[in-house]
Amino acid sequence: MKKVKFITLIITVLVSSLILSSCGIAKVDNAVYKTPKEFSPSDGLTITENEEYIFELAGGDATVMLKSKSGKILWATSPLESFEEKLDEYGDPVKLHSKLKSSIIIEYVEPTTSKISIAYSYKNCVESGNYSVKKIDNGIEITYYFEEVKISVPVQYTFKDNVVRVSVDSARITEDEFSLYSVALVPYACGIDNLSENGYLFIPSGSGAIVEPCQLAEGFYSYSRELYGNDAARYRERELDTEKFPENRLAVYGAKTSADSAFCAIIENGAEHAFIEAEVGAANTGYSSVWAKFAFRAYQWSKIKNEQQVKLYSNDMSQDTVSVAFHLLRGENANYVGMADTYREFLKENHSMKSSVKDSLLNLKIVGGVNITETFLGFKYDKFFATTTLAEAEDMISELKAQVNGTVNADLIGFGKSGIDVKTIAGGYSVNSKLGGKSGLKDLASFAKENDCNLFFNADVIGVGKSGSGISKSSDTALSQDKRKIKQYYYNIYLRKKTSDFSPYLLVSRGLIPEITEKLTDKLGDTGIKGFGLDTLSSVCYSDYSKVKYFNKGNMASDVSKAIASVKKSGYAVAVNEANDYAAAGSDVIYDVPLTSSKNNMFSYDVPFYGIVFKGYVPLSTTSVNLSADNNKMILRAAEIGAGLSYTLINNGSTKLFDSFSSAFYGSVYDDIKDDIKADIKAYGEDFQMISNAKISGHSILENGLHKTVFDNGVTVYINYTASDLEQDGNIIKAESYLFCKGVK
Amino acid sequence: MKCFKRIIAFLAVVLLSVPMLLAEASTALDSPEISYESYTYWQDYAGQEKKAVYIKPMYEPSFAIDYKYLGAEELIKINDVCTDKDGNVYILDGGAGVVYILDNKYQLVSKIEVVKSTDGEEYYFDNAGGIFVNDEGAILIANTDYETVLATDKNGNYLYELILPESNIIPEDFTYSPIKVAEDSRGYIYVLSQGSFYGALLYSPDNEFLGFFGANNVASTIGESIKALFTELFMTNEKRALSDSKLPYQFVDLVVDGSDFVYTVTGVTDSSSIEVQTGQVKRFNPGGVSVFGNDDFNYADATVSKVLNVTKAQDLLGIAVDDKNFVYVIDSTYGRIFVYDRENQLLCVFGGGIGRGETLGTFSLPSAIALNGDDVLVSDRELNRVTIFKATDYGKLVMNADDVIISGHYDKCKEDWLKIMSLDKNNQLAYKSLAKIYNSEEKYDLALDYAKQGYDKQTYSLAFKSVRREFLAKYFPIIFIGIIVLLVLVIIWVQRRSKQEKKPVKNIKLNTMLNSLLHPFNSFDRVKYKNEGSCKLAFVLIAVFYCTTVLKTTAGGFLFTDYDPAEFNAFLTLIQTFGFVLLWTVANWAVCTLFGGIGKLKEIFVVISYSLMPLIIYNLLFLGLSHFFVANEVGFLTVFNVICLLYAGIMITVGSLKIHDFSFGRFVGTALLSLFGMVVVVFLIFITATLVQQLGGFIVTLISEIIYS
Repeated sequence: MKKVKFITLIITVLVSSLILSSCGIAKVDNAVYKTPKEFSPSDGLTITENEEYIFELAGGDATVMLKSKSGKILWATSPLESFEEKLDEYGDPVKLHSKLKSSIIIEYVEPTTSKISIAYSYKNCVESGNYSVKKIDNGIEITYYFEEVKISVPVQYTFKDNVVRVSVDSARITEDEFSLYSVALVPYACGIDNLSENGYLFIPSGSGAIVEPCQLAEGFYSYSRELYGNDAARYRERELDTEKFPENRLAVYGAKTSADSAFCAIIENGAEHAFIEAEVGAANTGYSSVWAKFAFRAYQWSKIKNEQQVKLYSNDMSQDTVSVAFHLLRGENANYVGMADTYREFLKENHSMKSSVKDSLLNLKIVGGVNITETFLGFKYDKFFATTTLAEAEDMISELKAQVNGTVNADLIGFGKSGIDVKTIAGGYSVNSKLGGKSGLKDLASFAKENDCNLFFNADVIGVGKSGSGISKSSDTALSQDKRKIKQYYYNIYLRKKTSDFSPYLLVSRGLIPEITEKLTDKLGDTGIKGFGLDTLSSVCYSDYSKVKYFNKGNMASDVSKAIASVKKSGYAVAVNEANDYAAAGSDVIYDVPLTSSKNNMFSYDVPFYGIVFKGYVPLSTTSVNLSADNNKMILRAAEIGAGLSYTLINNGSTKLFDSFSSAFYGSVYDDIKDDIKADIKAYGEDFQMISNAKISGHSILENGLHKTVFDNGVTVYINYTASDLEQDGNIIKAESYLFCKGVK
Repeated sequence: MKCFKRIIAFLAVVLLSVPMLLAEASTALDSPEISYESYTYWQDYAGQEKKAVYIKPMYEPSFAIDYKYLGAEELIKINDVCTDKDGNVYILDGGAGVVYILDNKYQLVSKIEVVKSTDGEEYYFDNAGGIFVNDEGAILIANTDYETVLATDKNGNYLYELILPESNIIPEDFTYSPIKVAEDSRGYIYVLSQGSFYGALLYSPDNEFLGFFGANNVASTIGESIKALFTELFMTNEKRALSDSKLPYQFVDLVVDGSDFVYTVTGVTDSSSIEVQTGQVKRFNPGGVSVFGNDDFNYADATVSKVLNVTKAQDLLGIAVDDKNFVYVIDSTYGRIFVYDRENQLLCVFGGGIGRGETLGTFSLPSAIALNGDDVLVSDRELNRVTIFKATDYGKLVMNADDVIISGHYDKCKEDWLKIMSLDKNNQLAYKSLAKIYNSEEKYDLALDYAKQGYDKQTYSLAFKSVRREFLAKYFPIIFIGIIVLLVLVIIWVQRRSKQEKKPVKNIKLNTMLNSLLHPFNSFDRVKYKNEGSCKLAFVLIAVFYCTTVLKTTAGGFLFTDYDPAEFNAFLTLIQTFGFVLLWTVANWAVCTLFGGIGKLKEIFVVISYSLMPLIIYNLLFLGLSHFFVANEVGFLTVFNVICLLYAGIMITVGSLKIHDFSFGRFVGTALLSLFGMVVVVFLIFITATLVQQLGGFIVTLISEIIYS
């Protein structure tokens, strides 16, 4: 009897715990769609105007456009060239494809099949008059009613300070059975004719990429990539990339529409939910374009029978206002450099980015240690392998500092308790005793201070492999949309299989990040260290479904910016790594600056947009020269944007490091490569001094293939990536080399 | 309240912990400069045929030639690409029937859309599968749909054709559909025909058909061979025609090297398996005999993987060979290029895409591979472009050094290998090469060190032999005298003890245990009738056996062990030691009880445990001797092993006879049944475990349903 009672009690506790575990998290329900009694379309109206421009709604097609006073259309929700009269081969006017007239494109989830379908605002709303127009401050609001699927989306178009803004407040979206997944805002505002000779699209892939339009005989190129990388909280095995490449780190895109006009589109709000998408070469539309799509719902891959996987979309929609601001660029600024300048101003205003005079030629990433597998009587255990102790790090820095005229940056990676493995949060806020412990760090910090070296102690403040240091794996970690813990596995990219060789770890709850960064500075600040490396915080963007505001990566930008600001306010410098814009703008040095794009098939060529934006404001350093495919090319890329050189170093190598998840160890042993490093410093150092702390005022790719960067201190750099010597302005630039010139325009 | 919630949350998490979600870990140390992983496989690493490791990239994608580059409206289907001796590039757009000719700087020179003869006849080649350019500049086009090999010059002037020859050796049902063509330096032309499992068609320099060249072998089992023989001997013609027969797989590409050896590649060598293929690459001498290529060797990745949950089989479909006989093969499924030297050693793997090929350097459906100096050209018939990979400085260094060391010029490449080692610690060839170099310089310590790190047992053995010889030469007199002295001391000690009539060991049970080694009959008798068997000692013996078994692998001599801490499975060893003993004990007890055996569980356990002593002795011997012997002396260890196994068997037999009071015949019978019983027990454990797992899965699913609803 007692046994029966006990079992009943256990079952009751279990069942009630399951029910309760899903409580406590606010549900978000959007208003239910109701067909208005009558729609209020418009035959056209002037929305607002100033001395130079008129912002109006064109009747009939509900096209919103910005015109000059002389009547020239400067911006519109359809491609600019589409307003020019074009005749086909029979002399008849070319009819614009209905897609191009759509101000928004929505993706919605079918309730029974969970499949995604697409609807266009022009075809599904405007053509049938199912939209309403309402005037608001400095603009209008058009609500598109997708009657067939019972979804309405209110879109606001405003024009203020010579900037057109398009925004959507997801809280005001209504729906019924069909659930809205995403909204692409003005997808063809940046449209250019496929046959355009002067136009191109800009996509912020990695360093930045230019896409020249083309017309394909059939089909088209399409591109869709999540901004700030894939949501780390999402089950990814099914969609694991077949390749690895730089992510989109900047919330900006654009188009050069003619020889003297361009748009710079900045995602001002909701960038975390955005995808950068593009369509190039479609013959049926005749236009190529780039746009931002905002996903308001998250999805998860779930297995069903027979191992098939389906996307399951969240019930809740993230509550956020998303907006894109279109800046008009004219004349000499109508290019990607103009876009970079505009975007930089945005970062200065909104992310407190300031000029910096702290460029550093040499930026080291010194790896402390890693756990390797050893056995005792056959039983495996993790043994800490010290790849570099703090004393050894000091020797390395000292030897290399002697070669450099100026500051050296050194980021100490994997010096916490568990090395580069993710165990307790932030490495336990301590220094591994095998590497020298806190006293060793004190000594190194003291050395750094006396020798003009910026030392950063790198810590992973989002990964939790083990409970400890005040963070519990069970209760302090982020949840997926179906309220499960999210395991971060290590994958063999080429096998596309998760490897069981390394234990997975979890992501910490988003709300705890500020507390963790604060604790990091508190616990280690007494060592005299003057900076912290926050690599994962700056490059990883993830959701946490324990709180509404963190749904769908929400508020990641503001949270990270605040965390970095708080660290800086405490008097510490911050180093970031391949950082997203919100983290890069507030940091003190950016390691692993993207130097190439993802080289997608549709891209025509790369541009160093990322470098142009940040050079002169945040010190830049390349990806590790010693781990690159071509060391010389890395130096050329560094010269192109005035970045310092970066090296990943260890003191003690071993074949036991084979089994590490990191690919960094094969070419990082200091003794093996120090001569090469010194040679690089010698070759590049003097030239670097010429552009140290300067800003980039111009960049172009010349017809002969030379890359030309103009710095605001009068220095011009020509970079020759080709295999032949090239001549320019009376100078010979040798193959695979660069030339610094002063006074050239 | 908070505490209560935490407990509840904890319980919920524990219950839901099984179906976890997956995401990819990232690290600040990886940099995505190239869009695919550059890696290689260490061969024969700690018992693994292939172990994947990251390496410094040897090739990087430079640019791609597409329709825009060629100034064409579109490219329909690039089926092949080749180069000539001057570095000119020929791209065959089979879909459109056009050949694009580029110079050695990859600038478009001309294109051929139709071949015209002097009498005005026009020859088209849409859907042509292959292209080759000989040293005289003649362009040979494998004109698949037109069933001919068309020869033309760069201006599109007809030279000649090779049509289906009339020959007795060509079967009547043979379909001539040329897909690839190649020519050697003497002018012999090799043509691969779609579906031909007879090998390549060989034409003389005068374009006369000479016969078939090379062919894949058919892998056959004994049963299949007997069946085939039966079919031949006893079946009627009609029945024979209806029976199925195994045919060799056809070659999908071929290339001729500078010495007129023909390399072929076969995509699928085992269609029954979705797993890895083997023996895909072959090298034939001019006589048509395969002289390279191991039928059991997999020239592609060590394993297959899933794309969108579908496992995809490997399919090597392109091959190229350079002037140093480095072999390049491409896997069309995964888009990866594998580079081997002439000793079948893998240098690197690059490329990727796995059918998506969204970025430069990756592929959707690779169709061919060609070489142009240090450049590798790969065509893709879905993306319709040719990607040019350029060798990095590191790549050139490795290939030059490898070529020199294979040629035996150790002194000329030492510095290069040291440089390579400094740039890339994951390069196995560097370790192996330096081991050979130092061995040749008689710097044996260094040779041993590098050979061990590079898992080169052959060089290690050679170096160790030399070290051992030197050591013995130096210390042999001392060792010899030492052994003599030790033996004398032992003899004296034993004689003294026996005169004093003292037992070496006072503890009776320990004494019995130790005696069982030399006097099993007497000892097991005492175990049975005087209860002198000890379970504690038995456990100790099992533990010692486990430890020595583990140490045998982990601490044994390098030449005789394959130890990788990451792969070592202690649990398996535990099962093989403790598990085996326990299983035997239970099964034997159960069986023998049924057959009237009088042995108790404890006695059986003691017997089997004591019988482990010879094996323990062998393990200890192995531990010592494996550090002293070289590879070709493994026979000694094998002999010791067999002796100890046999002796252990004798001890078990004697012990079982004694404790069960069985005759020998009954013992054999019950022993066999005990073994069967062990299998049954394992099976039952497996079934139980599976059921428990399924029950667990059911509960978790139930909980998920409750939460979702």
